[in-house]
Amino acid sequence: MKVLLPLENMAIEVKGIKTVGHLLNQFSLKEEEVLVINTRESRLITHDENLEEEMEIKIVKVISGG
Amino acid sequence: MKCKVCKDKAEIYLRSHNIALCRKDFIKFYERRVMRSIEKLKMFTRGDKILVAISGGKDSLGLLHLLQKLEYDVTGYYINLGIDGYSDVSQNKVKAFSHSRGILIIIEDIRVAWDSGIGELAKRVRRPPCSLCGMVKRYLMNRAAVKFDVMATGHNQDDETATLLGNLLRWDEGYLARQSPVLKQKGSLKKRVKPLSFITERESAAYALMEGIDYIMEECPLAKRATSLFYKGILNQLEERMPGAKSRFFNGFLEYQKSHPLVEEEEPLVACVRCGYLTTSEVCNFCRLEEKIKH
Repeated sequence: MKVLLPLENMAIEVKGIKTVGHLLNQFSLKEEEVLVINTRESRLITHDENLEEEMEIKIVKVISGG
Repeated sequence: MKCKVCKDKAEIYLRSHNIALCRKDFIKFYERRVMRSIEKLKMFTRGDKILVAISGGKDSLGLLHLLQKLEYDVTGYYINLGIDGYSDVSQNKVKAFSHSRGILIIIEDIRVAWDSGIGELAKRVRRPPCSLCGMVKRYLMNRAAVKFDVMATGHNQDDETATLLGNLLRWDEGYLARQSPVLKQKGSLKKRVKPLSFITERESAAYALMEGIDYIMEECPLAKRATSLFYKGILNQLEERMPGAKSRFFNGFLEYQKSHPLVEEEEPLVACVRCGYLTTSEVCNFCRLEEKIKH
Protein backbone atom coordinates (compact mmCIF):
# COMPACT_ATOMS: atom_id res chain seq x y z
CA MET A 1 0.00 0.00 0.00
CA LYS A 2 1.30 3.45 -0.90
CA VAL A 3 1.16 6.12 1.81
CA LEU A 4 1.56 9.77 0.86
CA LEU A 5 2.71 12.36 3.39
CA PRO A 6 2.35 15.64 1.48
CA LEU A 7 3.90 17.91 4.11
CA GLU A 8 7.03 15.77 4.26
CA ASN A 9 6.90 15.41 0.48
CA MET A 10 7.19 11.64 0.93
CA ALA A 11 5.59 8.53 -0.54
CA ILE A 12 6.21 5.35 1.43
CA GLU A 13 5.34 1.74 0.63
CA VAL A 14 4.00 -0.13 3.67
CA LYS A 15 2.90 -3.74 4.06
CA GLY A 16 0.81 -5.69 6.52
CA ILE A 17 -1.16 -2.77 7.98
CA LYS A 18 -4.80 -3.72 8.44
CA THR A 19 -6.60 -0.56 9.60
CA VAL A 20 -6.25 3.23 9.57
CA GLY A 21 -5.73 3.16 13.34
CA HIS A 22 -2.76 0.77 12.95
CA LEU A 23 -1.35 2.96 10.18
CA LEU A 24 -1.46 6.06 12.39
CA ASN A 25 0.24 4.13 15.22
CA GLN A 26 2.94 3.07 12.78
CA PHE A 27 3.71 6.73 12.05
CA SER A 28 3.17 7.81 15.70
CA LEU A 29 0.35 10.15 14.68
CA LYS A 30 -2.64 11.17 16.81
CA GLU A 31 -6.10 10.81 15.29
CA GLU A 32 -6.97 14.35 16.41
CA GLU A 33 -4.09 15.80 14.39
CA VAL A 34 -4.68 14.19 11.00
CA LEU A 35 -7.20 13.31 8.32
CA VAL A 36 -6.77 10.18 6.24
CA ILE A 37 -7.82 10.09 2.59
CA ASN A 38 -8.38 7.16 0.26
CA THR A 39 -7.04 8.96 -2.81
CA ARG A 40 -8.49 6.59 -5.43
CA GLU A 41 -12.01 7.14 -4.08
CA SER A 42 -11.34 10.81 -3.12
CA ARG A 43 -12.91 10.40 0.29
CA LEU A 44 -11.91 10.58 3.93
CA ILE A 45 -11.77 7.33 5.88
CA THR A 46 -12.33 6.60 9.56
CA HIS A 47 -9.83 4.97 11.94
CA ASP A 48 -11.57 1.57 11.94
CA GLU A 49 -11.60 1.24 8.15
CA ASN A 50 -9.84 -1.81 6.71
CA LEU A 51 -6.91 -1.14 4.44
CA GLU A 52 -5.92 -3.20 1.42
CA GLU A 53 -2.57 -3.55 -0.33
CA GLU A 54 -3.68 -1.89 -3.59
CA MET A 55 -4.90 1.28 -1.83
CA GLU A 56 -3.21 4.68 -1.95
CA ILE A 57 -3.61 6.61 1.29
CA LYS A 58 -2.85 10.25 1.97
CA ILE A 59 -2.30 11.47 5.52
CA VAL A 60 -3.00 15.19 5.93
CA LYS A 61 -1.80 16.93 9.09
CA VAL A 62 -4.30 19.51 10.30
CA ILE A 63 -2.43 21.44 12.99
CA SER A 64 -1.06 24.87 12.18
CA GLY A 65 0.58 27.67 14.15
CA GLY A 66 -2.57 29.79 14.15
CA MET B 1 -18.30 2.87 10.57
CA LYS B 2 -21.76 4.09 9.53
CA CYS B 3 -23.08 7.65 9.46
CA LYS B 4 -25.20 8.25 12.56
CA VAL B 5 -27.79 10.16 10.52
CA CYS B 6 -28.23 8.27 7.22
CA LYS B 7 -26.32 4.98 7.85
CA ASP B 8 -24.18 5.45 4.74
CA LYS B 9 -20.45 4.86 5.00
CA ALA B 10 -18.97 7.47 7.37
CA GLU B 11 -16.06 9.68 6.30
CA ILE B 12 -15.25 11.15 9.69
CA TYR B 13 -15.53 10.12 13.32
CA LEU B 14 -15.65 12.92 15.90
CA ARG B 15 -14.53 11.48 19.22
CA SER B 16 -15.52 14.52 21.27
CA HIS B 17 -19.13 14.22 20.00
CA ASN B 18 -18.98 10.41 19.72
CA ILE B 19 -20.51 10.47 16.26
CA ALA B 20 -19.51 9.26 12.81
CA LEU B 21 -20.85 11.16 9.79
CA CYS B 22 -20.88 10.86 6.02
CA ARG B 23 -19.75 13.83 3.90
CA LYS B 24 -23.23 15.28 3.38
CA ASP B 25 -24.22 15.07 7.05
CA PHE B 26 -20.84 16.30 8.31
CA ILE B 27 -21.15 19.43 6.15
CA LYS B 28 -24.66 20.07 7.52
CA PHE B 29 -23.50 19.42 11.11
CA TYR B 30 -20.53 21.77 10.67
CA GLU B 31 -22.45 24.61 9.04
CA ARG B 32 -25.25 24.42 11.60
CA ARG B 33 -22.75 24.79 14.47
CA VAL B 34 -21.03 27.80 12.89
CA MET B 35 -24.43 29.43 12.21
CA ARG B 36 -25.45 28.81 15.82
CA SER B 37 -22.30 30.60 17.09
CA ILE B 38 -22.90 33.55 14.76
CA GLU B 39 -26.51 33.93 15.85
CA LYS B 40 -26.18 33.09 19.55
CA LEU B 41 -23.24 35.44 20.07
CA LYS B 42 -24.74 38.12 17.76
CA MET B 43 -21.57 38.26 15.68
CA PHE B 44 -23.21 39.85 12.63
CA THR B 45 -26.35 39.83 10.54
CA ARG B 46 -27.07 39.60 6.81
CA GLY B 47 -27.25 43.39 6.66
CA ASP B 48 -23.65 43.81 7.82
CA LYS B 49 -20.64 44.27 5.58
CA ILE B 50 -18.09 41.71 6.74
CA LEU B 51 -14.36 41.78 6.08
CA VAL B 52 -12.88 38.28 6.42
CA ALA B 53 -9.14 38.15 7.10
CA ILE B 54 -7.63 35.28 5.11
CA SER B 55 -4.22 33.64 5.07
CA GLY B 56 -4.73 31.00 2.38
CA GLY B 57 -5.13 28.33 5.08
CA LYS B 58 -8.02 25.95 5.69
CA ASP B 59 -9.73 27.94 8.46
CA SER B 60 -9.97 31.36 6.86
CA LEU B 61 -10.73 30.13 3.34
CA GLY B 62 -13.27 27.69 4.77
CA LEU B 63 -14.91 30.51 6.72
CA LEU B 64 -15.08 32.83 3.70
CA HIS B 65 -16.52 30.00 1.60
CA LEU B 66 -19.15 29.19 4.23
CA LEU B 67 -20.22 32.80 4.74
CA GLN B 68 -20.61 33.30 1.00
CA LYS B 69 -22.62 30.06 0.81
CA LEU B 70 -24.90 31.37 3.57
CA GLU B 71 -25.34 34.60 1.57
CA TYR B 72 -23.60 37.00 3.91
CA ASP B 73 -22.08 40.19 2.45
CA VAL B 74 -18.39 39.21 2.55
CA THR B 75 -15.11 40.54 1.21
CA GLY B 76 -11.76 38.82 1.81
CA TYR B 77 -8.62 40.57 2.98
CA TYR B 78 -5.20 39.03 2.43
CA ILE B 79 -1.78 40.39 3.46
CA ASN B 80 1.29 39.11 1.63
CA LEU B 81 3.93 39.14 4.37
CA GLY B 82 6.85 38.51 2.03
CA ILE B 83 7.88 35.21 3.63
CA ASP B 84 10.22 33.41 1.22
CA GLY B 85 8.80 30.27 -0.35
CA TYR B 86 5.50 30.67 1.51
CA SER B 87 3.69 33.98 0.98
CA ASP B 88 3.63 33.82 -2.80
CA VAL B 89 2.31 30.25 -2.67
CA SER B 90 -0.46 31.25 -0.28
CA GLN B 91 -1.30 34.33 -2.37
CA ASN B 92 -1.69 32.14 -5.45
CA LYS B 93 -4.10 29.90 -3.54
CA VAL B 94 -6.08 32.98 -2.45
CA LYS B 95 -6.26 34.34 -5.99
CA ALA B 96 -7.40 30.98 -7.39
CA PHE B 97 -10.04 30.76 -4.63
CA SER B 98 -11.27 34.28 -5.36
CA HIS B 99 -11.43 33.60 -9.10
CA SER B 100 -13.25 30.25 -8.77
CA ARG B 101 -15.90 31.57 -6.37
CA GLY B 102 -16.26 35.14 -7.57
CA ILE B 103 -15.47 36.59 -4.14
CA LEU B 104 -13.78 39.98 -3.97
CA ILE B 105 -10.49 39.75 -2.10
CA ILE B 106 -8.38 42.79 -1.23
CA ILE B 107 -4.68 41.94 -1.43
CA GLU B 108 -2.00 43.99 0.28
CA ASP B 109 1.76 43.32 0.10
CA ILE B 110 3.98 44.72 2.86
CA ARG B 111 7.01 44.67 0.51
CA VAL B 112 5.44 47.47 -1.53
CA ALA B 113 5.75 49.91 1.39
CA TRP B 114 8.76 48.45 3.18
CA ASP B 115 10.74 46.67 0.51
CA SER B 116 11.27 43.71 2.87
CA GLY B 117 9.36 40.72 4.16
CA ILE B 118 8.35 40.20 7.79
CA GLY B 119 11.31 37.86 8.50
CA GLU B 120 13.88 40.44 7.49
CA LEU B 121 12.03 43.24 9.29
CA ALA B 122 11.96 41.16 12.49
CA LYS B 123 15.74 40.79 12.31
CA ARG B 124 16.20 44.50 11.67
CA VAL B 125 14.07 45.60 14.63
CA ARG B 126 15.11 42.61 16.80
CA ARG B 127 11.64 41.31 17.52
CA PRO B 128 10.36 37.70 17.33
CA PRO B 129 8.80 37.30 13.85
CA CYS B 130 5.43 35.98 15.13
CA SER B 131 5.00 38.91 17.51
CA LEU B 132 5.88 41.47 14.82
CA CYS B 133 3.66 39.69 12.31
CA GLY B 134 0.69 39.76 14.75
CA MET B 135 1.10 43.48 15.41
CA VAL B 136 1.41 44.36 11.70
CA LYS B 137 -1.58 42.19 10.74
CA ARG B 138 -3.83 43.64 13.48
CA TYR B 139 -2.99 47.18 12.38
CA LEU B 140 -3.44 46.60 8.65
CA MET B 141 -6.65 44.59 9.14
CA ASN B 142 -8.15 47.31 11.26
CA ARG B 143 -7.16 49.93 8.70
CA ALA B 144 -8.69 47.87 5.90
CA ALA B 145 -11.89 47.38 7.88
CA VAL B 146 -12.79 51.09 8.03
CA LYS B 147 -15.62 50.76 5.52
CA PHE B 148 -16.93 47.50 6.99
CA ASP B 149 -19.17 46.78 9.98
CA VAL B 150 -17.21 43.86 11.36
CA MET B 151 -14.01 41.93 10.85
CA ALA B 152 -14.04 38.11 10.99
CA THR B 153 -11.05 35.82 11.45
CA GLY B 154 -10.70 32.05 11.10
CA HIS B 155 -9.44 31.31 14.62
CA ASN B 156 -10.64 27.82 15.58
CA GLN B 157 -11.15 26.08 18.90
CA ASP B 158 -7.60 24.70 18.92
CA ASP B 159 -6.21 28.21 18.44
CA GLU B 160 -8.40 29.48 21.27
CA THR B 161 -7.57 26.67 23.71
CA ALA B 162 -3.84 27.02 22.99
CA THR B 163 -4.11 30.78 23.64
CA LEU B 164 -6.09 30.11 26.82
CA LEU B 165 -3.50 27.65 28.09
CA GLY B 166 -0.71 30.16 27.40
CA ASN B 167 -2.59 32.97 29.15
CA LEU B 168 -3.29 30.75 32.17
CA LEU B 169 0.31 29.58 32.42
CA ARG B 170 1.35 33.22 32.68
CA TRP B 171 -1.74 34.18 34.76
CA ASP B 172 -2.14 37.03 32.35
CA GLU B 173 -5.41 38.54 33.56
CA GLY B 174 -5.45 41.28 30.93
CA TYR B 175 -5.30 38.80 28.06
CA LEU B 176 -7.73 36.43 29.80
CA ALA B 177 -10.24 39.27 30.19
CA ARG B 178 -9.98 40.05 26.47
CA GLN B 179 -10.18 36.44 25.21
CA SER B 180 -13.58 36.03 23.62
CA PRO B 181 -15.21 34.93 20.33
CA VAL B 182 -16.54 38.51 20.03
CA LEU B 183 -14.52 41.66 20.68
CA LYS B 184 -16.73 44.72 20.68
CA GLN B 185 -15.91 47.85 18.74
CA LYS B 186 -13.78 50.22 20.79
CA GLY B 187 -13.47 53.67 19.25
CA SER B 188 -11.77 53.24 15.89
CA LEU B 189 -10.95 49.58 16.64
CA LYS B 190 -13.47 47.54 14.67
CA LYS B 191 -15.63 44.80 16.14
CA ARG B 192 -13.80 41.47 15.67
CA VAL B 193 -15.44 38.04 15.63
CA LYS B 194 -14.26 34.45 15.44
CA PRO B 195 -17.11 32.30 14.09
CA LEU B 196 -15.01 29.09 14.21
CA SER B 197 -14.26 29.38 17.94
CA PHE B 198 -16.19 26.17 18.67
CA ILE B 199 -14.92 24.18 15.69
CA THR B 200 -11.80 22.02 16.04
CA GLU B 201 -8.89 22.33 13.68
CA ARG B 202 -9.55 18.80 12.39
CA GLU B 203 -13.21 19.59 11.67
CA SER B 204 -12.18 22.76 9.87
CA ALA B 205 -9.66 20.87 7.70
CA ALA B 206 -12.25 18.16 6.93
CA TYR B 207 -14.78 20.80 5.88
CA ALA B 208 -12.25 22.49 3.58
CA LEU B 209 -11.30 19.18 1.96
CA MET B 210 -14.91 18.05 1.56
CA GLU B 211 -15.92 21.39 0.04
CA GLY B 212 -13.05 21.22 -2.45
CA ILE B 213 -11.09 24.18 -1.07
CA ASP B 214 -7.48 24.19 -2.23
CA TYR B 215 -5.68 25.66 0.78
CA ILE B 216 -2.03 25.96 1.73
CA MET B 217 -1.11 22.93 3.85
CA GLU B 218 2.46 23.91 4.65
CA GLU B 219 3.20 25.56 7.97
CA CYS B 220 4.56 29.11 7.92
CA PRO B 221 8.38 28.60 8.03
CA LEU B 222 8.69 31.36 10.64
CA ALA B 223 6.14 29.68 12.94
CA LYS B 224 7.60 26.16 12.96
CA ARG B 225 8.86 26.55 16.52
CA ALA B 226 5.87 28.62 17.68
CA THR B 227 4.80 28.02 21.30
CA SER B 228 1.20 27.69 20.12
CA LEU B 229 2.13 24.48 18.25
CA PHE B 230 3.68 23.07 21.43
CA TYR B 231 0.52 23.91 23.43
CA LYS B 232 -1.66 22.34 20.75
CA GLY B 233 0.40 19.14 20.96
CA ILE B 234 -0.12 18.99 24.74
CA LEU B 235 -3.86 19.68 24.41
CA ASN B 236 -4.21 16.96 21.78
CA GLN B 237 -2.50 14.48 24.12
CA LEU B 238 -5.15 15.37 26.69
CA GLU B 239 -7.88 15.06 24.08
CA GLU B 240 -6.69 11.58 23.15
CA ARG B 241 -7.00 10.40 26.74
CA MET B 242 -10.12 12.43 27.53
CA PRO B 243 -12.27 13.09 24.43
CA GLY B 244 -13.96 16.49 24.69
CA ALA B 245 -11.30 17.90 27.05
CA LYS B 246 -10.45 20.81 24.75
CA SER B 247 -14.02 21.98 24.33
CA ARG B 248 -14.75 21.56 28.07
CA PHE B 249 -11.64 23.64 28.85
CA PHE B 250 -12.61 26.47 26.48
CA ASN B 251 -16.38 26.42 27.05
CA GLY B 252 -15.81 26.18 30.79
CA PHE B 253 -13.61 29.27 30.64
CA LEU B 254 -16.27 31.22 28.74
CA GLU B 255 -18.92 30.19 31.27
CA TYR B 256 -16.63 31.16 34.14
CA GLN B 257 -16.02 34.54 32.52
CA LYS B 258 -19.79 35.18 32.55
CA SER B 259 -20.19 34.51 36.27
CA HIS B 260 -16.80 35.92 37.34
CA PRO B 261 -15.97 38.68 34.85
CA LEU B 262 -12.24 39.30 34.78
CA VAL B 263 -11.40 42.95 34.97
CA GLU B 264 -9.06 44.21 32.34
CA GLU B 265 -6.84 46.93 33.72
CA GLU B 266 -7.70 49.54 31.15
CA GLU B 267 -4.87 51.76 30.17
CA PRO B 268 -6.42 54.86 28.63
CA LEU B 269 -6.45 54.64 24.83
CA VAL B 270 -5.50 57.71 22.84
CA ALA B 271 -5.25 58.37 19.12
CA CYS B 272 -1.74 57.97 17.72
CA VAL B 273 -0.46 61.44 16.88
CA ARG B 274 0.69 60.23 13.45
CA CYS B 275 -2.03 57.93 12.15
CA GLY B 276 -4.94 58.21 14.58
CA TYR B 277 -4.91 54.49 15.50
CA LEU B 278 -5.98 53.88 19.10
CA THR B 279 -2.96 53.16 21.26
CA THR B 280 -1.72 53.43 24.84
CA SER B 281 1.18 55.72 23.97
CA GLU B 282 1.64 58.89 21.97
CA VAL B 283 2.86 57.04 18.88
CA CYS B 284 1.48 53.56 18.05
CA ASN B 285 3.69 50.48 17.60
CA PHE B 286 3.07 50.42 13.86
CA CYS B 287 4.24 54.02 13.36
CA ARG B 288 7.24 53.37 15.58
CA LEU B 289 8.09 50.35 13.44
CA GLU B 290 7.86 52.43 10.27
CA GLU B 291 10.16 55.01 11.81
CA LYS B 292 12.74 52.34 12.74
CA ILE B 293 12.63 50.85 9.26
CA LYS B 294 13.28 54.21 7.62
CA HIS B 295 16.38 54.90 9.75
